[in-house]
Amino acid sequence: MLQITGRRLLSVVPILLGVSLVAFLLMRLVPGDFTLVLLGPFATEERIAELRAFYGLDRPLHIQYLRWLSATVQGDFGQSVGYRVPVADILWDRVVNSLVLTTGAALLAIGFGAGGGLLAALRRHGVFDRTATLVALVLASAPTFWFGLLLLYVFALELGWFPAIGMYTIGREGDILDLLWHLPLPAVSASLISLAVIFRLTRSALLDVLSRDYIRAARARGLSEHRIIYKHALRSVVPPVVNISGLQIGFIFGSALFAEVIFQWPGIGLLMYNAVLSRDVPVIQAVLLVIALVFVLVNLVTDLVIAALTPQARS
Amino acid sequence: MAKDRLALTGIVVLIATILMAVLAPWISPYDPDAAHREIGRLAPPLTAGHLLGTDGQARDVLSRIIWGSRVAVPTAMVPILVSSVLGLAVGIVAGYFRGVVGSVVMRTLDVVFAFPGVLLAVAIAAILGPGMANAMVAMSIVLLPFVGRIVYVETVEVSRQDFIEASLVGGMGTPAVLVRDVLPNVLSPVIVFGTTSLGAMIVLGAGLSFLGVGVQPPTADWGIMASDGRTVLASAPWISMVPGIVIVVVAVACNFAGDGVRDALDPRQRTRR
Amino acid sequence: MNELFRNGMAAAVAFGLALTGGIASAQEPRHGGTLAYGIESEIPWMDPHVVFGGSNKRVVMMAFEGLVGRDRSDPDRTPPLVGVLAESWEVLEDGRVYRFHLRDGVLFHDGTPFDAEAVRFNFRRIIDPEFEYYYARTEPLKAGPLRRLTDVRVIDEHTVELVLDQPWGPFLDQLSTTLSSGLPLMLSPAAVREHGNEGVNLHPVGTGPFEITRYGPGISTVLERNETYWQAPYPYLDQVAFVVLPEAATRLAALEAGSVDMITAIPADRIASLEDAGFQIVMPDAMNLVWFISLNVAEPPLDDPRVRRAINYAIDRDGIANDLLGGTVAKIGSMIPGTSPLADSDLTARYTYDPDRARELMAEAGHVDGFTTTAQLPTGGSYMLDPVAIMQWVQRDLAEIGITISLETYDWVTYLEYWINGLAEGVGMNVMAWGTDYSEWWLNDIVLSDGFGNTGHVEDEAVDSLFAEYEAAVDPDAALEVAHDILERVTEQAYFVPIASDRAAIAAAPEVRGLEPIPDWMQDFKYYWIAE
Repeated sequence: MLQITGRRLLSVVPILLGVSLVAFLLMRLVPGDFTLVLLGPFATEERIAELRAFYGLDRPLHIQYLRWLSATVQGDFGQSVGYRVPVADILWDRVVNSLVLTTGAALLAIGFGAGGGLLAALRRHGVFDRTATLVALVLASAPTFWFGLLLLYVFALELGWFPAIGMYTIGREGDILDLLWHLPLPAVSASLISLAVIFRLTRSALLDVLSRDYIRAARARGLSEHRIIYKHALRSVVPPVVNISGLQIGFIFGSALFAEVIFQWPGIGLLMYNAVLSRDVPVIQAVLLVIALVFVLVNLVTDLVIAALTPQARS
Repeated sequence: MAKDRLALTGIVVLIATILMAVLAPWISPYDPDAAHREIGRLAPPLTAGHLLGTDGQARDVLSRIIWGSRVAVPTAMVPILVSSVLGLAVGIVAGYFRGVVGSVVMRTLDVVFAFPGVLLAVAIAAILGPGMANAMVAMSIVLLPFVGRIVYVETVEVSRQDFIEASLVGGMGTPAVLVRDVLPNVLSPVIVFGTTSLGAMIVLGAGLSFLGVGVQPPTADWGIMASDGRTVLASAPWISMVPGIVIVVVAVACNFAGDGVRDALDPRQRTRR
Repeated sequence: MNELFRNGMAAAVAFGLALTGGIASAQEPRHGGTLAYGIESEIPWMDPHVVFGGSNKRVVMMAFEGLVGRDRSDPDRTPPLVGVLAESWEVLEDGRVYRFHLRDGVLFHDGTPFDAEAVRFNFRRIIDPEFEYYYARTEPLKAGPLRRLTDVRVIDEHTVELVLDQPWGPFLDQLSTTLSSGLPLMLSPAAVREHGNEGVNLHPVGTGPFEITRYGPGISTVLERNETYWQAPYPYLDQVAFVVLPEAATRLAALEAGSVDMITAIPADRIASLEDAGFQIVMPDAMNLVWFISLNVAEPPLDDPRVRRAINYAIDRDGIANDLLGGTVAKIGSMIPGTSPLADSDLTARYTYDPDRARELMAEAGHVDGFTTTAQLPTGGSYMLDPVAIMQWVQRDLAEIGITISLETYDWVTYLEYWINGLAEGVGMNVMAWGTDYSEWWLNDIVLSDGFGNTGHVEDEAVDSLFAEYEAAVDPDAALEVAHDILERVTEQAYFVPIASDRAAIAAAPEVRGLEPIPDWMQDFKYYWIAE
């Protein structure tokens, strides 16, 4: 297991290097002189020169990349154009806030998705199965922003059960109860699509296993249904469910962008959204890098968990 | 069978949407940009003469929904076509030659894979500048690694088979082999992927417009319409909800249709329902 | 407790409620409480000498004060110019020297005293490249409001003289400006010395009624009551939280769900429904803002004044102000905002809605069949209202007199890049919203031949020489007369198509008190309080 972990960790390094190259090159995609884009049309010559020097724009491209990379790995993402502070000063708080939201959403998606999927498969063709399958079909296709607006309208504006914006009430920053009151609406809207996807996969995975020969054989041997399901079927359903859940966590980061924008959740998605509107390129770069890092790590952990669960995958 | 009925319904809705886009100038009750001052702003659905009411600028919502399909359909289809063509090209080359070429191509695609799709699309669209064309570029880039990987796997499998060897021995040049022998054999999974991702692309396109990095106002677009409705969410929720429902219906229809196409073309991947 | 007594109590309670609810203003202002204000853009600047952007300045204006300012306690069309950190002043040497007598006993938030040396320090930071703490980034302030200031002389601890290179009429108005890039407000010299020119932006220390205590980029900036404020009993609030909510939709949701107490920049559609839901709506009749279209006068057909006048006659400004924007803006028919003393002159009524007159002028100019041109506009932006909707309205009105305009929309940042370069060949129009201070000086940027905002390429010697005369006039009445002549020329030539002036509505929860309609965007939070 240790060896696998080491190998997988090593395989992540070139991907991360590639990711950093993409983030670096994205900045060069900005049409026109990107210092002008960064500083706006009213920039003084002095500021432009300062920024060109900062990015080393007079050097060859590979030197620029290496300089930028070495600053980045030391946690220096440059200066935010919009916020007037180093990107690193704002980034990490936002990452934590986003992790709170995505963790909440992932727990909902995996818990209800996998749980519901198992239940539906075990009671195949029952009322729950039919309704849930239909609902999941629709949910899996619907845009997150639409759920967000729907939840905002019904539960915040009409019923007033939950707050409309933010992570804390002003003056109650850090209060866990207050956080838990702010969390449900954005977390639910960020989770719904993934919940539907996990539900569908879990359900079909269990149905698939239940129709396999060895389960049939177990039944023929007269083992109790209870035992068949808990001892054999569930065990082989776990790897695909873990796999899809890992993939969906990455997807939830994307959905969380919409949830953060609609509910003004001060996470990395909202940070990116506002950076996008003001073309704050250093912030966009930093957010992309951090998210790709988290995404790659989640995938790595998923792989390792699957490897631990299924001996044949280790080879 | 229920499943075929769903696929059929999906295909019917999809064709209706495409027809709506093509025929918009003739079937739209009003000019989508015209303000109906006599009706006023924010008229609710079922107002006489305005089935879906009017928006914040007194424009007919139904007409804007109809014209919006002219944005939604191409913004979803063009990236699928572009990424399919590019994905076939890089996937076949990488899968056929493998070795250094193959790993360079595939590792590059892995890198693109390392970004969650929505965020990458938003970042690219934002950096290129907002607009329909740039949104389509962004969506194509997001799709490319998926297609590339599918084609790669298929090509590796196909190129091991005897008839390829036979063609080469028979004096056919490599480019000809790639086009005549490999391409037809890897095409069907690409078509399946394309049709099954149509719904997701409609949602993604609308999402980019919703965030303001896609199509720009005053163009009638479903994502923009939903976004415009946010300011009046408390007093006129239907302004956001109507385009949202249209997106959901079309996206669900696309997925039904896509599943149908998959089952028809690719029996191996038949899903259980 | 018997029945009668209980009923009596209930009646008394109901009466009491009616009193506090119905005759709210009768309640005495009280100290305490937090006001959460949903502000429409980011607040990156806290150094007053480089602050940029209207909403950001609202925050800075609460923590910093200038020598003079505008009194917004008793709103009128033009808030009077009053001494703030200066108690009084004299104008000497025919308007070349301004002597200020400073208020005694004022302290910066860090406890250091405000005195003549502090004034000198602040101005030298901006205008004197030889000074140790000279800060090049304050260039726009130096080139704008302080363009004629050459020296600052400390006379004694509480007396200071500002010396100009030549008499300059707009000087006092410009010392009270809230619209330039960078404001001439007083920053603690000790803070600059401790944190440096760049660092002081995150350690802002002024003399204002509130002190900036927390900066959460993109989330909120929190200001706390200055306990030693010189102007008792202000401020009333313990805390003002500026919550950054750039999108109108989230601002509205936040107010409606009670997450914030007050918002500004409210979509026209929502004023009525907010009022119905019990929120206060406070709106001045007029503001110091002009939303206008610039015309490309450098090329045909808009080089012909008759065509430009035709356009001015063809637009239904009433419809835009009251129908399209639901009365959230005031229409304006000249480049004179409603706050100007000239707003009552005949100039403002020169171009009324008259499509027939417009068609006649088009025919006179030889455009019976009309013509086609392009207009560039942003999809949004500071003070831009709803530019797309307004220009679509203009498009329809101009179609009536045969002018077909195609609209090219851009996001705000891209738009500004086009705008700053001026109207290109073949592009007939662009749009802008411009804030003014309480003088007519603002026009120089958009009509002078070398004005940086002269995007329509106006080159008019008459205007240029009148402006030189205007700036030299130290007497306000004489200056106003020249200003009238300038505006007469600008209106007659119809270089612009003024459309509307925003009315900057404020929406607030019922318990927020002390809100008054002010004719600019600088809400003064020291007057606000929260009812029990």
